[in-house]
Amino acid sequence: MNSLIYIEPSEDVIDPMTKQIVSKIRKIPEELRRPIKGIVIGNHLDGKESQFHGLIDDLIMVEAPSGSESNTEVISKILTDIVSENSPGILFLGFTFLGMEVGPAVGWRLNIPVITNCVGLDWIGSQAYLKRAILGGKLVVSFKVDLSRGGVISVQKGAWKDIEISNENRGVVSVKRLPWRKTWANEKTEVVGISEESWEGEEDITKAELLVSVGRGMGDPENLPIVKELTEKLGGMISCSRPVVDLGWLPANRQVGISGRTVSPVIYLALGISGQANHVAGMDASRIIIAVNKDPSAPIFNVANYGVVDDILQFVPELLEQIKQNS
Amino acid sequence: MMRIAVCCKGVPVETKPESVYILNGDIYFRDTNFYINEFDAYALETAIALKNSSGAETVALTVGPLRVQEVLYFALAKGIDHVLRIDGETSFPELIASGLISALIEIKPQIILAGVQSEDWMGGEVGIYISQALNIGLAYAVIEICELNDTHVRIKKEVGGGRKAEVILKLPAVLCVQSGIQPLRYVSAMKRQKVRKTPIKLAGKLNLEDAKKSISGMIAYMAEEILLPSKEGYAEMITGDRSEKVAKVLEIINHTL
Repeated sequence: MNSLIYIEPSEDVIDPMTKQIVSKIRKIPEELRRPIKGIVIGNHLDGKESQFHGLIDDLIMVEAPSGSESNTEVISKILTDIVSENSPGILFLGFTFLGMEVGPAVGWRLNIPVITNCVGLDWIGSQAYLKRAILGGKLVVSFKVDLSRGGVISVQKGAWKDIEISNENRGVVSVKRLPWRKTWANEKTEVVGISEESWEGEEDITKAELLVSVGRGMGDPENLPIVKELTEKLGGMISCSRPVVDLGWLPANRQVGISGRTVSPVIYLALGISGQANHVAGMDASRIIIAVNKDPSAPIFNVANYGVVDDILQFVPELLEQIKQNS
Repeated sequence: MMRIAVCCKGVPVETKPESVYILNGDIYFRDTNFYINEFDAYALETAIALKNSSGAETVALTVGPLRVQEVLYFALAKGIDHVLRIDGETSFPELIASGLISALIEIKPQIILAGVQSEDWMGGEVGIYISQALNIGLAYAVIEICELNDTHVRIKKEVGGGRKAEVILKLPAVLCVQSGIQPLRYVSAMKRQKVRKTPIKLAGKLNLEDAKKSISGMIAYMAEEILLPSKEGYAEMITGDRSEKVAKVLEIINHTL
């Protein structure tokens, strides 16, 4: 079967998810996976094709009118056709907002299995076994999946390690340009604009060396002042997970995760954060992650370097007290 | 009159391994109560907001056994006009969608709302499958409904990295709403008690075998095993009394910075 990867537009030349996915595809028995084909929609990688040497075998570059490359209706149609024309093919995507929307749409159209939020992929002979997290990441389910007719697999960010591209034996990627087809045009949806939040003039959490990040475990906005005092004493900045923003306790510019900012401080102190994949995707590159949570099965402990099982409402005052004693 | 349907899911309170089991390749829960999926609660709030602004009629529907009726009582207490339950039990989103699609074809809503994901399955496929089956527009991770008229809806949705897309969709359309799109209002115990007298209409039964046949290509997978997450890369746990744990955390911070 063909291995197809949808390469999302990214700030990096190559979307980091692509490298993670390739690392896993390489472990599929070669007689099963055939060449690895990347799919790019739009012209954002024009002139950068050589970056894919040694990573993938073929690069399918789809011509798309300006603006249509960000329309998920259009992307779904294009990917459906490409997977169909490379049948049987497995379409790999990141479990990003784009991948969450487009992957199941392609699977439904082609009547092939869809496994979202995938964290594991193993083969025993020609049989695939995929793992996905359930119940807030506290459990994992292993599925036996028949991919003989193809399939769609969206991969949780960070679940698989990046591949290192060796300078030796770097294969040359073969580029195929796919002209625009009228059948791909949008019919039901029109993207009228893309906007980016401006954080100008505000404290930039992506620049912090130390982040004190709070989650719903804070319990009440009345507990925010003591967390702010701790942040100040440690010389860091305050950040948070999505529920804290949803509840209006902190503004959106403090949010870490796929909906918010991606951060990589030296120390990430996660207080009362459960560790949902959407949050972890924005902070897993931190150098040292220290998590404090009263739930010993909280998934945050799966990514943290150090863990403390405790109630943050008791832990933070004690932490402040010891800082004051030591100063 | 505009009609808005909200797809709701009951999710288990218990998350312990012993409360989850596999039967015939599907995943089930035992010894637990169920509550409304938090993301669907935001979809309910969105429906109520649209009802208040446009006078739309609202319908909430769910697929599940009798015990998930709690979800529909919650919807009624929030102010949803009508509720429907499709009898059936499965964790597979394709099959849940199949159950909802038959009812939605009858209801003929202009807008179908669903939460962006479910807390138990941790995916958001159901709304997407519904849009594909009904061949209507779709927007995922909707954070704002800017404008609604008889033919179109204009929304803003998240596209990742703090970026947002503004999209106009022809009606009917499916909107999978993000948490935080509306504030979650408190529903008093008295109001919850009052709606329990309302009979819940049964809108058919999800026949799993028939549904599996119609999407047999998609149901080419089955659950084999429930596992705890890998301990590879698991945190080094700091133990001791609170004072000792705090001292160790401070030592790590001071040593690293």
